[in-house]
Amino acid sequence: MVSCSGLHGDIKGGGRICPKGSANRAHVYSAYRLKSPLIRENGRFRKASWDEALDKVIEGLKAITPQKIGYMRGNDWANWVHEALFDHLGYPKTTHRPMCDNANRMANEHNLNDKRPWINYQEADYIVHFGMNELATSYGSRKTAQLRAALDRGAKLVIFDPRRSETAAAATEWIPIKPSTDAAVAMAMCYVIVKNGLHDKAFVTDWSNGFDEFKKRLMGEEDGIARTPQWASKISGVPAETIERIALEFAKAKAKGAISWTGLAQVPNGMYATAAVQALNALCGTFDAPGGPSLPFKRKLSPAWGKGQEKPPKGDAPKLDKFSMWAGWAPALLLEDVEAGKLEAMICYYGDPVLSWGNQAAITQAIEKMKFKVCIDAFMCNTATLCDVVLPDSTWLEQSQVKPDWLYEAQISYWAEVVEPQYDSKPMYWITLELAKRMGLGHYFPWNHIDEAFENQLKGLPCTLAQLKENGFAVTDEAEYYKYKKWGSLNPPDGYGSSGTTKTGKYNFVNPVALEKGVDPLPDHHDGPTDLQPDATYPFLFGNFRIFHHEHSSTFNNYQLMKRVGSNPLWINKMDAHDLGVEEGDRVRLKSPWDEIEMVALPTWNIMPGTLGSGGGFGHIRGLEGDPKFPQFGGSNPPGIQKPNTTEDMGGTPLLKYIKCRVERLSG
Amino acid sequence: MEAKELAAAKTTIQRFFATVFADEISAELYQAMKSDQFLMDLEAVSQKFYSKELAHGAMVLFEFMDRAGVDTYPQLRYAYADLFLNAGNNPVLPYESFYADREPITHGESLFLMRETLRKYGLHKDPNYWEPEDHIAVEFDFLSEMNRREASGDRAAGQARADFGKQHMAWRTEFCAVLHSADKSGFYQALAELTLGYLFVAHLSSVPPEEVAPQQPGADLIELARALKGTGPGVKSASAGEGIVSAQAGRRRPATFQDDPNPLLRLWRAVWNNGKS
Repeated sequence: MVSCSGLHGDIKGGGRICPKGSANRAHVYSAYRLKSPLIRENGRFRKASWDEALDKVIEGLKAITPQKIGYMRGNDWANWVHEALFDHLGYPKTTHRPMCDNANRMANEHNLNDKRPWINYQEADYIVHFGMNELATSYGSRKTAQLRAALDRGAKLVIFDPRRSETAAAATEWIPIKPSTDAAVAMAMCYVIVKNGLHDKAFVTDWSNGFDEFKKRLMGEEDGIARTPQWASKISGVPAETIERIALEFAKAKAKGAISWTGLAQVPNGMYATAAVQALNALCGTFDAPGGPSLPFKRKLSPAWGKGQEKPPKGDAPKLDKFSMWAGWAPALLLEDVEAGKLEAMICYYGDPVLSWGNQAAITQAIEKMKFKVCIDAFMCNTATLCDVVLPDSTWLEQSQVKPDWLYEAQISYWAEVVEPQYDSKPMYWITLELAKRMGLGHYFPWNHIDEAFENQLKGLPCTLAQLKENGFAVTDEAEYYKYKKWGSLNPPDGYGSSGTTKTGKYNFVNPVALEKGVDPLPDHHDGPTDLQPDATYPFLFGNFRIFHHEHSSTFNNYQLMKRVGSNPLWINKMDAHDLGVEEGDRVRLKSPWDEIEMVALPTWNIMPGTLGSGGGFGHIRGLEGDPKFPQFGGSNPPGIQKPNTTEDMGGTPLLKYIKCRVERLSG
Repeated sequence: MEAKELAAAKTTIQRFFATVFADEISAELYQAMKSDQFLMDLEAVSQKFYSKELAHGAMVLFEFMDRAGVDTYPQLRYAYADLFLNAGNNPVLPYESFYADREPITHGESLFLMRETLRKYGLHKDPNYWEPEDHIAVEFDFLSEMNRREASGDRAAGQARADFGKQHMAWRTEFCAVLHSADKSGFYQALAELTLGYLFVAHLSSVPPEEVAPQQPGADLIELARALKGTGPGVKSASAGEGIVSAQAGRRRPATFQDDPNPLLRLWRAVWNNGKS
């Protein structure tokens, strides 16, 4: 492999590729790859054969009650196969989801049909983003290219964000907003639209549920507090005039959409804020309209188990943690779960809990306390250093999968094994089958080659595996306006999937699942818990942000990417820095009530006063960040100083973007 | 001293280095290096060497192995995992690509040139050996094989060995320096010192004797080979095999891919294609 480039016609990339994709050669061929299974002895690691390592895994797992063995999959590569095994065994499972955007999903996956109805930028003339850096997010470069093209042709982009991100810098307006107050601004915008009768009455009447209740909330008929721009301004710091102006511009624009993502999910009021933002779309009837948010839909694959093949039946996995809207294993509560005896062992596939699940010391302590830990990763992540067995994973260009996907259109993608697995690494598919064999469950995994499973998955679908291999993808459904009118529901028809379901088939201003669970079902602003709010001792709110050149904690052994962004200084507003006597390059201590970390300061105008930020994913003690031969690389994990065992209370998402703290200058 | 005798000695020495760097030290090799005979021989030759560098390297290895106790072998396995399997924070990257490109990325141009070299001499990397061809062990194995051929009377192989040895000397010495600074066990420091001593003496052996007198590098190498023979790994290559194995068939890329605009990558592609032809 000498380079990676985009695939023409692919609906997500559209022939383009992001920096992570184009630098993939340096990922696959990183000199820091794990090469062989490792077993920990006396606190050190030694090489092991696959047979020895897998036997050790089986021995370790057998000694523990299955319901106390956590299985974490950080990506969904071939998830149909490893989920089948671990679900059968009754292991509680967690994924990337509850540490990313579960709060967001608790709104969108119940109020409409999917977590993220991406805006049709190609035709939009007015776009509003709340706490989202679209130009640096994942999910393909076609969408972001269309956003840039929209800006070039004069579309208006308004960004509400505490930070002047890449997208905010390119936008027509960057409107600084206090963290976790987006709901107030979105509610006030809704208020202005409804008050002025600018909402789409036909959509609201025919395709929404609970408008009257929502209107009462906006007008203050429940509690005497109208959600006016003046009300929102006091909460958010955004001038009331600005809120009113943006609301009116949005309502009067022809092709428009509003959207948010994790900026609103990893803060205390995530679900309600997300619902308030989507209420703007619902009020204006923008779903599937030209330039509006497009309702996601993608083909469902058939089971990998074909005729005469039996999928292992599901076991009885407990849901470890219960929240107001969601139950499951919340990664941020790991220490609490371990100390309560709910978890005694863990299989961690692709992901670095130490750097991403919450308070770093608490997560580390929890892993150390567990009786048996296995890590499956392509690199020696921080979590791997704490595990009993480390298995070398293949990277995504060393294995294959068939996957339905969506961006305006729907397609089935083929992810090809471009090069053979390097060294003695193995893909998770192979590892799963080997574990199953050793557990006497091999008959449930009957394929001689993964292609046989793919053939089964493609049965009844409008493309063959051979066609996918030839072309890389097959577009199954073209983009359409107002799909819901054809479907007779906001949910896609049989044979299609999306990540959520609206029980009414309409947009729900009143969240029906919240109603069932006895939770306030309407969007609104809620202050964060008192002990998490900034105060005189800890006057700042810290939030981590995504870096365009990195993907979570997985790309930090890629030299090409690290050359572009090799550390994560602390962004601090220049006026705040001045008041603290902090200058660029100074070492500072970032201190929360629960922990502290040393960082290098970067005073900038690109973050609003009172807030702090830094890129996420840094802080590895192995690989390029840990290697003394490359002292120019290395950062820290500031979200690791958040309150231990704490999440937002609807979906269990860690509060990576809402950590109160103070800054102390250490040295120049 | 005959050139063939010297080549045979180098065959043994280089295969020893290929073996110790190809993988973790096997229990058998460890036992052999811990045997009374080997230790006696190693101590004895370290007194005889003309080269102070080689004497020092041999003595350091002797002292380490002589001191080694019942707990030492597991420590060597841990050290290997830290240094060569990326379990530690200061790994040694044993690839020429790293030293040539100064980037911690494998599969640089050095790899493709090494593949070309192996093919040219009817050799291939053992498919079961999963390190790339520009790994230090493969290069020592290649040199060992060239010396073996020279010892059998193949003069062209002798020239190939000499040219390759010179061209690939700098990075191997730097590798030893990096290994020495990174190792905390002492064992790999000793191996690094012995390897450096060998590389120095091997270089001296390639220049006219009168220019290096009173040093007698040939005699040093023959003595070293005699001592190392007791460890056994001279018999079989860990990483290389005879005969050319066809390169992996190119995988088709979807017709929808764009051509890469990067001229450097096009150059690499040309090198790769030449290597396959």
